[in-house]
Amino acid sequence: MLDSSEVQDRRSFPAYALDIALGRLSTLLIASLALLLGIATFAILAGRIKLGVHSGSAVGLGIADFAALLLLIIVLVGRVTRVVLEHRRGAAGARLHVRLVFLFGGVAAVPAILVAVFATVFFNIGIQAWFNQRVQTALDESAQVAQGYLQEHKNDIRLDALAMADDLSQNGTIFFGDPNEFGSYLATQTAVRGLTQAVVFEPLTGQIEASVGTLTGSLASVPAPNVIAEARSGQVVVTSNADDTSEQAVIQLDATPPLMLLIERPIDPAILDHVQRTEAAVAEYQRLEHNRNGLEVSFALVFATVALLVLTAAVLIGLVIANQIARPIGHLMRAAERVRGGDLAVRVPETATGDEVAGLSRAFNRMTGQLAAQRAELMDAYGQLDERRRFTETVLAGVSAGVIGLDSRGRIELPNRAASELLRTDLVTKIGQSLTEVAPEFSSLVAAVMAAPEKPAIGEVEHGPAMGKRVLLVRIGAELKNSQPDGFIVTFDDVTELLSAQRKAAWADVARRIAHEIKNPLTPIQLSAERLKRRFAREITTDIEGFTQCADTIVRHVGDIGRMVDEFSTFARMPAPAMREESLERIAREAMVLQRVAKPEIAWSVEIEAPGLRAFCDRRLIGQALTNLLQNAADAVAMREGARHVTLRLAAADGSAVLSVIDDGVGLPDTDRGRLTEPYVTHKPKGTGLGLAIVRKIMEDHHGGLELAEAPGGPGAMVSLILPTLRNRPDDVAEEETGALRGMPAK
Amino acid sequence: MTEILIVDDEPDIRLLIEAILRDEGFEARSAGSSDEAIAAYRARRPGLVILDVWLQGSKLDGIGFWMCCTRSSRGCRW
Repeated sequence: MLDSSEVQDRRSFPAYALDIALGRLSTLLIASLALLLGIATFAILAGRIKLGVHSGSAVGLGIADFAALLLLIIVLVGRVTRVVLEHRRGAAGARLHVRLVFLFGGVAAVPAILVAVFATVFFNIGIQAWFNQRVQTALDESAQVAQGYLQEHKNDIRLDALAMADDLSQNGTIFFGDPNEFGSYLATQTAVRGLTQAVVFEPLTGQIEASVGTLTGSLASVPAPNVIAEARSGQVVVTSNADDTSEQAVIQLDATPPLMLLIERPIDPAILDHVQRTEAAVAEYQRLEHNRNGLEVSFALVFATVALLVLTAAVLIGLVIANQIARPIGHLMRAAERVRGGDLAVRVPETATGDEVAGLSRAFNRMTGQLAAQRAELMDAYGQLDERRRFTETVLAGVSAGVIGLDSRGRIELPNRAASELLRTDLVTKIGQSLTEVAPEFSSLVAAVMAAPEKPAIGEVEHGPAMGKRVLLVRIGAELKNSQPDGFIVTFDDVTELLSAQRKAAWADVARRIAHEIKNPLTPIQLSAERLKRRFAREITTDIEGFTQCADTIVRHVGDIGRMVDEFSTFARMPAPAMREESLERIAREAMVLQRVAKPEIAWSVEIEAPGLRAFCDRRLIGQALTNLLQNAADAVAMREGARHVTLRLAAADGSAVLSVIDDGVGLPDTDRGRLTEPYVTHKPKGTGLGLAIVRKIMEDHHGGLELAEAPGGPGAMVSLILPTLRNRPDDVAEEETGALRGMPAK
Repeated sequence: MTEILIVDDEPDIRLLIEAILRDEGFEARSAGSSDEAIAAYRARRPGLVILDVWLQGSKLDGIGFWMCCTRSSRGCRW
């Protein structure tokens, strides 16, 4: 989770203050204020310009505008700087941020600038139009028309004054005598000429001689002395009253005493008003014309301020919006980066706006959640697999049976430790080689299972050197995939000991039975013979001695057989050998002595290649083993025409003593040679099959070996007993005895 | 005269021993199986039993027969 508060906590206080200043809410607030201020400024100043009024409040407004503008610019610069810095730092989403900022800024600024330009242009055009020559002429003409009208009005009243003065001068004398007549004439003149007042007065005294239109007898206002003075020179003096609502004309009458006429006629107030307005307009126009440059500058200033305010505010709002859009995308990018780095626990903040970006954030969170869950499941499954694999490997490494995995072409893929030990080779170094090359004994079974993969091949295989061959029970099964062998599993176990034990047990059992079966008839034979001798000897009259001798012979031989069977039976019960340190040479010679006596027709010889060999053994048992071998040799010699040599040789080899019996008899059979040492296996016509079995048992009890081989350089066989020896040691007794025996004749 | 009971599954031996003992002046009887032997033993108790241990083809061997005879008849189911 992106923890922004944590990030902020690490910052300094100024940065934190800047954050607040550049925050979204404050920025929007400032921008809105600036916009309002701009509009207000425009409204107020536009009004003021129209009114043509400048005051201190306008200056204050301008200062406020500038302050707002300055604030806006500071915030804007701060924001833009931050975006640019992020871009430089290569922060996720900064590029998009910059682009959005420029896009929004541009979208806001370009119309504002365009409007500003057009507005300025139109304003200038408007001002030009306003101040052009025709307007000037029209205004001037209007002013002249107004002045002309007033001038004509004055001329009219001047002409009326002259005409009236003339009339009065011509007829006045008539009426001077009669004031009433004169008054009536004056009234007639006044009415005819459309005057409101006509007064004849004495200029020096101000005495009114006659008046029309005045209610009082005295003149309401005697003309000013300068007017009277001017009129005295014979001119018509035209004046306006104080509020310009009427015009007066003063003229000297041709009379004695000098009199003056004052006439008054009102001016039409509507026309007067028109004239006044025209004059005011012309004056304003001229004032404006005079201030034209100042006006333009003011307008430009106001417009520029407002435009800048709006522009800056627009750019700021654009920035905020860009931020709004770019921030979730930046979050997504950073989160995606972390996902790429393997952190599947990352989540982006989901905004409540409900737009596509929010949907994308939600989808992203769902996706990472699912990914995390799937990865957890995968890791779990992998862990289970790994555990199972390690368990299997442990089991395979721990079992005593050899297990080898072969590929579909019979090459070694995965051997276990027991397999290497049983095959006496490091199979790990043979991975990739064919099993039939490494262990040729397996080839027939491998071929069998390859020929018929649906059926496992099972068989016994002999493996190892001739001496100490091991019997392996092998089973080869095929791993079938679409009924095609995908590989093979070879399992095998060393059953040598098992087979040996089984054979031993069977042999012992049979030996016991035979002993019993032989002894059973022996007893009645012996009893019968003894009864014959005891009961019937008295009744025999002739050759009692012969009868008794026969009976004795029967009894004696039956006793011999009984003793032999007893021994056999005892041996079959596998007595533990009584081990002692013995001279092998002595045992060999003793065995040979008996055979020489029993079968003198054979050429017996003893070869002692390593004198003084001693071994820890049971002398009686080793003697019996040698006797068995010598008897076998004698039988073999008897079975071949022209053979008569049997040699007993004692040699040393490799920490062992080798007692070999070599004959030139019929030799070993070609078949079944490996089973010759099993009980009841024989190739002699009258053999029991026990001789070599007994020898083998004796040798096993002595941790020795029995080897069957062809006789070197000729017909016949060489059967060897191998016994672990003790170090050669001078043994006086043994030397004496062997010396004595050596002296015996060879035949 | 004390009687001797010979128990052996081998007829040759059984008869031979019986004959030899008679030659020597003893009264002798013989039985070829454990059942016969038990019957003979119960019919008339002998002074001596010459007993083969391995009684081939009998329900009991010699020791079983002897235990059956020497203990109370409760212990012998035959």
